[in-house]
Amino acid sequence: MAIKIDPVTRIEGHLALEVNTTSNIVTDVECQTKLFRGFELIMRDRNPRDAVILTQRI
Amino acid sequence: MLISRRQFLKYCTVAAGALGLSATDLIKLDKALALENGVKVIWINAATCSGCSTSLLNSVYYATIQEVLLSGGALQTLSLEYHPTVMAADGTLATDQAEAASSVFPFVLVVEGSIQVAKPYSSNTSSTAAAGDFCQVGTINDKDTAMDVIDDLAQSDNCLAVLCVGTCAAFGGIPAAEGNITGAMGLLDYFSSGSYAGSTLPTSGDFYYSDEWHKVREKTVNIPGCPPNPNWIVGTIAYMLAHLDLSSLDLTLPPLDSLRRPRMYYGERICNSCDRFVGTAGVQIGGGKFIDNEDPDQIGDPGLRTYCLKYIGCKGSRTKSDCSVRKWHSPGYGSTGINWCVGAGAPCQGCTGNYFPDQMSPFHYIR
Repeated sequence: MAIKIDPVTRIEGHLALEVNTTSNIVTDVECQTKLFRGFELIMRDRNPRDAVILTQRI
Repeated sequence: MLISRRQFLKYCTVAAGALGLSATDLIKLDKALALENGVKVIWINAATCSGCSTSLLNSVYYATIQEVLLSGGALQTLSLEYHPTVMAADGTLATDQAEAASSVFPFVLVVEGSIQVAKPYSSNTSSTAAAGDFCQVGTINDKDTAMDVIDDLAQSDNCLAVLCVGTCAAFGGIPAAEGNITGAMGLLDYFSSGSYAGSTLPTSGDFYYSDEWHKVREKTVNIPGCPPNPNWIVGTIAYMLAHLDLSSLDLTLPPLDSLRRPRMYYGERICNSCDRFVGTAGVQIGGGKFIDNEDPDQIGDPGLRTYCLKYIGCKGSRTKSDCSVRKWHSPGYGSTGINWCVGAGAPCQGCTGNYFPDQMSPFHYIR
């Protein structure tokens, strides 16, 4: 049986879980992060001291 | 968000001056709060860090977490039907509630975080990636990306007002900074970009003033800030509730500037009432001196708290907000806050502007 929890609440950010069970035993769990903003790409070619300001908003 | 009616009215009475509410407004507010089960709020987190939610929760520290999460009852002011960060329900239980709330007039849509319109790149030709897939928020009304969900809810006839909380939702903010590949933009930019559902406009990157843009714009209020002060959010909601016509449910927005920000909070530049302002000719407010950006000992020196931070990168002269008066972390009803960025010796970053962060960067140099 497959259980899907989307969205997972009470966390910071976006998360979904897919749980596969066989006779009430969990056989497989898939964790999906549902958000990509690309902070690494935004940080490129900037003044190093900007990192303090920008990455505190991750 | 469940603040009891009594607490809310108490808050509004004390802060009435700051909110620009007159005595008759408060009587109207009392009636608005008598609305059955409160005003429904659907809060959607798009590309966000949840910092705006955290900031808002700071303002209601006098309400217990139980009050925040429960809904129903006659004493209710706002009924937060859906909020992914604080609600107790998970999965379809949560999204069903959002669907139920969105099917009845009226609800208020609060958007936190920018809308990402780009399609993720995949070298796999059988990839099913679609535009907006950078942020998925769970299935609400058969939509599952943040872009489609917000598009659907904002254009819904049941939607009374749209609040764009935070610089991301209002103007794009940090996710939309140079170098991003996600096509992030603010809500009103999104409706003029030709990316929205049913658009017949080209998605070339040009901006258009479409019918949908006009329709959404006239009920939108931007509350930028990274994060916005909780009083700005609560105050804007209080103003809108106080001026709500209960028979027709016609909406009256607070006076707005050209960027759809409430003038009562974003009316003046920060320097106008800053403790560190060196003053204009003949008028001296602060110490009349600047922090020397070439002297490491002066940077962060607590003895120099009246020295202007201009030369270590303060963007206050280009930033409109009432941070310097209202301050942050208010300890109780109607009190000004304990401190703020510039008061703590950190230069203003200009986070309430529509060009944050690219036009404000580098943050530690004069620009």
